[in-house]
Amino acid sequence: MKTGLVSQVSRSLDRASAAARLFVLAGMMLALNGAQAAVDTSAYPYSMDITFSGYTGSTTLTNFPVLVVLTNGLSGFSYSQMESPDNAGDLRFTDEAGTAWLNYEIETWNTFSGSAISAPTELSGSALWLLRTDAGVPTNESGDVTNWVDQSGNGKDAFQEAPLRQPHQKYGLSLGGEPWKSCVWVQVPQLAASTKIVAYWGNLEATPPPGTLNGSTWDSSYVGVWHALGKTD
Amino acid sequence: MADSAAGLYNGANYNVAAVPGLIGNAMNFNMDLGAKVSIPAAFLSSVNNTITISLWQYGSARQPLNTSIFEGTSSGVRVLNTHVPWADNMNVFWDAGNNGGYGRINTGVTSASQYKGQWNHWVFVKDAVAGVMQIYLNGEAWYGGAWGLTRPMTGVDTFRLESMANGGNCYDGIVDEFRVANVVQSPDWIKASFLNQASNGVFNTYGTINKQMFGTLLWLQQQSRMALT
Repeated sequence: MKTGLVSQVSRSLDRASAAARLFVLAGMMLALNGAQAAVDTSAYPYSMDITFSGYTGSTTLTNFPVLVVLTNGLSGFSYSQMESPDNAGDLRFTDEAGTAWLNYEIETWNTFSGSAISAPTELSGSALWLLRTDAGVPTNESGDVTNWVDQSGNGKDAFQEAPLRQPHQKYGLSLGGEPWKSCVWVQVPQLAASTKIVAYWGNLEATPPPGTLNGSTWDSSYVGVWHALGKTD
Repeated sequence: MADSAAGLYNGANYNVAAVPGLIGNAMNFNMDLGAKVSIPAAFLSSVNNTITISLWQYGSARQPLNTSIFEGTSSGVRVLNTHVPWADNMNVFWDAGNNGGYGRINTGVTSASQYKGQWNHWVFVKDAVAGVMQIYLNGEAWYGGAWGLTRPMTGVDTFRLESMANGGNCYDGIVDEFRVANVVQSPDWIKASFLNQASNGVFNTYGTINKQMFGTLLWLQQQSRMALT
């Protein structure tokens, strides 16, 4: 009984595959008639359209580097959908028509899937916690940090007694509550308010393309682009 | 500090610390430590008459100070430089040019938020053919015009970020996404860069995640064949 059902499913799927092959053949014929060939995205099970309605300019920008931010806050997105969640080797982008892979560069890839830690007690077995930026860092009148209070509650405070070595407190930079983000620069061939690009991921066999590291995301007018201190510094 | 453009002109960091930035990490410069970055000046070899320099800046609570955001010199003579602001007169300066002196535009800041306590996107543009120098703040033209400022910007042999070229007057604050282009970027380009980076979730619209059914069919087909064999 089970084998019969499986056989029926298999036959149905074979028919579906045959239909899919017909679509592919039709696409090839269109290409031969002058239509632009499409890149093959069939091995990428996940995709997402990205549009740029926030662009308010009147001109179309050529080879514009667009920042794409991926987070667990995107509805339906999860790093677990990627075959290479550690290095995003299966991430790709195409133009709207799917005629070309777009150049892209990953500036920051952060796959942390939990929420930001805001209390020391959330770290099981914590013995020492000094680097929390929004608590336990008293400053002197100049705004320089003089000591770090151990947030684990174990009293292992740290001190910097040399005034010239006391770091200055910066404001507005706490990670607490901030979503963990992955920042990707994508070179969009033609950017207007109506432009759409498509992100793909989940291909079992994809590896990072060379364009992610050779500067091709930035057109030749850019003589230098320094994202600041990243993992390659 | 790695250069992402094709030239790969990586900078040499001196006492620069990584901190969370507007986009990924940013560079924290402590003037007490003389923090700065030296960038090989060859990255400017194709710069002659046109340039666009952009960066995000978050000045520390110590600002205003007499510091430089960057300076490039030729045989010790200034070619490129900015102060945001220079504390003694509270002016933002944009200097660019190398022909018996540099072109300069400068104007006073109007609020502390322009130089400290928040992220600001500064863009410095020069078109030496048209004689234009312009400063953009947070996507909008802030100061400048076509004032006959035609000195080209050739021959830079020393370039430092967050200090003067001689290493003095180090900045105190945080800088992110420092870029240099050898063209004059358009107002649309500059505003789009600001909006895309400052308000990503407004500029970009992220659609729903699509799961491709064809992939699902293939998987089911593979499973059914495995069950039969």
